[in-house]
Amino acid sequence: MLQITNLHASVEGTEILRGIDLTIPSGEVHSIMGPNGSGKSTLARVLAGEETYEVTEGSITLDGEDLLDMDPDERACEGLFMAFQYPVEIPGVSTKYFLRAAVNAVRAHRELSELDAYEFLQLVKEKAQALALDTSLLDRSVNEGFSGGEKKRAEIFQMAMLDPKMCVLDETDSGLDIDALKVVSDGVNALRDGNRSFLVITHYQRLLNYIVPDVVHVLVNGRIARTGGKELAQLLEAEGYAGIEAESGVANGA
Amino acid sequence: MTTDTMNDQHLFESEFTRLVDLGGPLAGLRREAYDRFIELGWPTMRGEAYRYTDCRPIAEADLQLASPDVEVAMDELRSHLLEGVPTHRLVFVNGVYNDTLSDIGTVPGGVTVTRLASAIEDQEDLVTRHLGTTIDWKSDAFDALNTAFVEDGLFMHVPAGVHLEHPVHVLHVTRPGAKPIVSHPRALIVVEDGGRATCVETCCGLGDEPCLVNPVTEIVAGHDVHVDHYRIVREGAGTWHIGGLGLIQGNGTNVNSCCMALDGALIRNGMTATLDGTDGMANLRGLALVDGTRHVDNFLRVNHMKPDCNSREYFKHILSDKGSTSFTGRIYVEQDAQKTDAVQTNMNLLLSEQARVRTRPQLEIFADDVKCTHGATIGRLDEQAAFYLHARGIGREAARSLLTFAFANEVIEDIELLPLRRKMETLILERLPHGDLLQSMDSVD
Amino acid sequence: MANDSNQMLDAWAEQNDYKWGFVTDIESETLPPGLDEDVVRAISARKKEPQWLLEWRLKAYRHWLTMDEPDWAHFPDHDWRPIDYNGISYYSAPKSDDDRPKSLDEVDPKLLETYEKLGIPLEERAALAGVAVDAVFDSVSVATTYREKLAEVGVIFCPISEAVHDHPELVQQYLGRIVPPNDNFFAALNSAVFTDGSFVFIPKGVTCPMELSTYFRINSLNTGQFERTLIIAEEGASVSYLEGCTAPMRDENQLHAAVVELIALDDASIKYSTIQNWYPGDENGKGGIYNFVTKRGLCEGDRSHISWTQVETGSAITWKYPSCILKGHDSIGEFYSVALTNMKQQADTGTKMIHIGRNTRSNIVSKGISAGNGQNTYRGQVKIRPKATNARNYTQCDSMLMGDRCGAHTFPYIEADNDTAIVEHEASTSKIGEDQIFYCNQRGISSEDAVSMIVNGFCREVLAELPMEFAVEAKKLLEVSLEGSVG
Repeated sequence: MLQITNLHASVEGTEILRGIDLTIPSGEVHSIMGPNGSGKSTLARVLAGEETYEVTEGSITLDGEDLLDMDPDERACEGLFMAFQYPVEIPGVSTKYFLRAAVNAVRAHRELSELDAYEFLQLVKEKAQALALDTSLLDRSVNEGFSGGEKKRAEIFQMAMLDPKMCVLDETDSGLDIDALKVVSDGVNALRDGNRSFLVITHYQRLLNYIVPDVVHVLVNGRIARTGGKELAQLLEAEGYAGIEAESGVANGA
Repeated sequence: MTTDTMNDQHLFESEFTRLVDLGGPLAGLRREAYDRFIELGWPTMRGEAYRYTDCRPIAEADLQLASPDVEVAMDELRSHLLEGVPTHRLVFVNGVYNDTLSDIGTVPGGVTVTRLASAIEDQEDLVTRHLGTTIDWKSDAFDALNTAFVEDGLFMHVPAGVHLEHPVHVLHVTRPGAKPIVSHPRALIVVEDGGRATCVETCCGLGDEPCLVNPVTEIVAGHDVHVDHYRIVREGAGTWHIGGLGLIQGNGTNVNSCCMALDGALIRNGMTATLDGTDGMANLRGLALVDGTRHVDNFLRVNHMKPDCNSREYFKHILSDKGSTSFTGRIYVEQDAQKTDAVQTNMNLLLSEQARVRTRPQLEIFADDVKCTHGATIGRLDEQAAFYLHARGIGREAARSLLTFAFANEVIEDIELLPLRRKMETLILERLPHGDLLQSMDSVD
Repeated sequence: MANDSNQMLDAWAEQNDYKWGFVTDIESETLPPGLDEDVVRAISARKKEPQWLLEWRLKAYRHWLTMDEPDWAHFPDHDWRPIDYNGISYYSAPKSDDDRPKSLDEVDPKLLETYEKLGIPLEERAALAGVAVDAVFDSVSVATTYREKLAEVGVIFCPISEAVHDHPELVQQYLGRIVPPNDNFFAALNSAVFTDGSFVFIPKGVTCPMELSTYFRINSLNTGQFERTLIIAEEGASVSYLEGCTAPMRDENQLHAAVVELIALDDASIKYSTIQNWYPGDENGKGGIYNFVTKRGLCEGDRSHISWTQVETGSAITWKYPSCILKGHDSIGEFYSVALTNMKQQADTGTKMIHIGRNTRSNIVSKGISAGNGQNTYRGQVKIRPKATNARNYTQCDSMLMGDRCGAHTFPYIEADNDTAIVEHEASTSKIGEDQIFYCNQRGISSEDAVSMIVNGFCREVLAELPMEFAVEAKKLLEVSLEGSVG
């Protein structure tokens, strides 16, 4: 269970998150929607522990463990996974090598034995089959020269390999055509197992047609302005964010 | 015989004494530069800076300053003038200002376009403040020599916010004689914040006897300035052209300088650009046509002193006959110059068996967050492309000419000044076999 | 100084039965510091060398006296301590056991930690640290073990001092042919005073059945300042030779001036790999080796092939340009290099590819990594001579900078005198992005592992050229060398 309490975060002195309360019980899929600049991506990056953002108040726990106390790699080992909006290219490092290092780091943390090359490839095969993803990207450098769709598929594949408890998808749908969107959402749906939780951050309702959330939160001006069921997403699609923005007082600058 | 033993103390001394006896605000600088030249001596191929350029013929020539009474008729300059655009024209013959051939015209209020000789008297302040600040005359013998003999040339001052609409065109005409002469034209271009200016320098020769032309141009650009500078080198077949360009620029300033090395026995194009403000761009380009036994040496240094600047060096050499070229492009990035983006390219096209190429693309980097790349290539025409064109009905030689022109055109097409671009296209095409054919193709669009 | 050394030499000579020999057990002795003709004679006598070699050394010495120390690569702000050539001892047999640490307990724990990280077994660690505990790693016995197996196929692999006696005709024919004694300041010095090194001869048509290595031998000799290596591959022969300098030296600013000469005849192939990890000095630039090495290969025969691979992580200052003279038609020269500088290290390294024969090819891949206050320079020359029709060169120089007090410099010299030449040079610089580290972190990978992963990725083309075991060692070495350079 991910529990966020009264979370305030700022970047270079400007407050972006202004008191977020959010609880995601195990096995649930929550979505965060919101207009540009509402703080969606900041929330994702604060969860992952990027240093640019300073948490000034509040707490984040994952199954009771204080995430804010941990370095980004420790959070990952504890089971927090973020699918990046813009996955970074790492020239010269093959995806296979990278993933094996990541899998073994996480396994070491969980006091599991290191996978040797053979075991690792078996795992790759198994996960690729389960997600119907092809493994041709594995021999290329991490994200280097990948198309937008390939990058997002690689993120989902990494998610499957690392077996996280809590997955954060940061605008994974941005820049994807409908086919790629389906591949990504099929992957996520295949990973829904009743225990794993998801936080799906998106600007558009489109993705939520494929990954159906249990709860939808609307983030406006660094606060959760409204929470509802999946029908809230459809409402937003139809009416836009203006109504909620007005309601929460953004329009008059408060 | 080596050249560094040749610096007998009397080199140019009588001329120098005459000049320095005139006194004036530059006497001290001249004195210092002269002493420095004597100390440095003529450059040798054992030093790094002139490793590939043999200055022995210059050192061994009994050079003397040209006499002021050389006649040149306007008709002799026609082919060098810019057509279709008004210019502010200054003509110097063997380094001496020629009033009859010059036509400065009127310049917008506040702008000065004049002879350096007048400016030394009338704008002493500006001249003494900037002259010699953009080049390293203490380490380059030719720059030192020019500075020792600085007397006349172009002076240009564009005050803050003023756009000088029409290009300034300076023609350095050299008419060599029986005895080898030397001229040291100097240009000082000062453009204040927000100013804009274009300057074209044409160095042209009217005779093939040996002589030395040693022009130095300095550009001092403030903040948010835009300067386009061109130097066209069309010297006589016996001329050693050792040119220098110094450039220093402030915040948000964009300077383009392009050197077209077309004619002369030896052409050295030394350029030093110092990006001394943030967000600046220095764009140095050059094309060299190297035929006969010509040697062209592009010797560059770009100093990135402040963050967030871009620089480009883009130099193309086309070699035929026994031509030879050298390129040295040093990008220096100071520790503070983070986010520098510097690209350096030298491409050499070999069209003959005896052509020789030397290239030294160099990086010297002391900052970590920078993007610096350089590339150098040496090769012949793409035979497959030539064959393809041939197969489409273009004659073999015309196909080769077309590809050669395409190679050159990557430099020419960036010339902003349209009449100059057209002139360069014509000049290049004229030299290529079946160029006339290509010229007519070109005029289709 | 010279006077003292003369007296010492006289004293030595008097003890001996014949003038230039040493009968006393001088294994535990070191020549007093200083260099003059008598020192050269003493070294030659100690090695019981033939007259021609003594004269060869003396000629080199006399020429050296007329030469100036080069200064092309000095960085003005570096704390360069001039080398006192009379302050060096030119013959230093293993130090007496009294001087050595008696056990690992007496060895600098930092050093041991490094060995442990390198995965070097305990016994070997002891040998590296100069502890006299084990003779298994004695070079002679190692070489001897292999020597019989090698002799079966006609391969000669022995210390060069032995080759002088056992194969004088080969040594005399080839020594100094590729690097003449007057080639440069340090080569001249080496020629005058070299004390050890390897000799390898692969006869016609033979593929050397195993990788040859000086890994143990150099380490077991307490000093390796002036090695001389000569490798000859006859027609159709091939050999892969590994040189591991993983023994950090403890002395301060010690000079290491080796010379390596390779000769490949028709269809022969020589692959020479180096891992250099001499003592780099400390964080403040105190101490460390001055590593001024001349390495050159001659592709004498048609279709011959010489390939240099180096991973340079040690030494305070490295000047080293392993080169290929591509004389045979269709010959190939290669240079793959990783140079890492941290703390106040300076590496000035690169290659020369001299194309003389037709259809010659050369390939240069240089990866420089600068961290801390390190300065890393690629300096290389590609020369296409007039008769080298259809010569090709491709050069790639990439630099990675870590931190804002280091430097990366690229000084190539490209000279083409033949119009059929195709020469391409590319260089780039990069840094490890914060975003790359964060991305790795988010997948559970620590920052330190992320850096070493990215650095290894940056170097992969070079590491791929190394034999397997060496590649593993090189990777670990890069990790160890970068430790603490990531904030």
